[in-house]
Amino acid sequence: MSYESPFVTDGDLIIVHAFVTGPRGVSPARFVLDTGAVLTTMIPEIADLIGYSARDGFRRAKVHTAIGEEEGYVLRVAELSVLGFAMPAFSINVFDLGHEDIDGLLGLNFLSDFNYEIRSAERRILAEKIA
Amino acid sequence: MSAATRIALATTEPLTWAEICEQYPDQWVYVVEIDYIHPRGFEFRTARVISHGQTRREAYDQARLFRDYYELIGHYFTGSRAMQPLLRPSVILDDELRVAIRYRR
Repeated sequence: MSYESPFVTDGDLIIVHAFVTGPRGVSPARFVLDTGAVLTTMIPEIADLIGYSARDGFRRAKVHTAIGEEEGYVLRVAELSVLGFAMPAFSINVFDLGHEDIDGLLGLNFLSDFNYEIRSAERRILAEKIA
Repeated sequence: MSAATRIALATTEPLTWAEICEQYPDQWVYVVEIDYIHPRGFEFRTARVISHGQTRREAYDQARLFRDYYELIGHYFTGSRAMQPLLRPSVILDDELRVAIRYRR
């Protein structure tokens, strides 16, 4: 099964529309498709909106940023749905990206399960789950 | 006045994106009952605005009050903004975390 999804750009960034589900609801979110990120990340505001806090994290995560080393937390959201695929109990790092227009990074712990083709001229991504 | 009535009064009628931009120029808006054009796209036909503000935080603080009434709450900025660089953080992975984040099919 494969799906195609539209994307938008912000400068050089490819932004896809994700839906993150938690105990208090669902939040649409703008995620950068980031093949350089090992772990999918979302900002604390999205986590809070859908009912998560740091208490729900199962691990602390150290994060290198431009200003040094900071700390986020990793939690399993009820579901992450993006590029046409819904992943239940998905691990996401919660960390403030310091960017108003971006809600998260779609990293390799999601992307590695898919073959995907970015068709830049058509502004769409084709994705299929690896069997 | 019941809580449901207060919530109903606090939301707008379904508005198109053009109407939202006209009524709330250069603001953050939080919206509900979003009628998406494409199930995986950003654009929508209409949505109801539940909060707005000059800063994302200001609009978010109002929108948070609606969590008990709407399952899906989205957010948009109605203006155009100067491009902001994204300084990507990098997560420091140890073996334990690497195993913990692996998706289990």
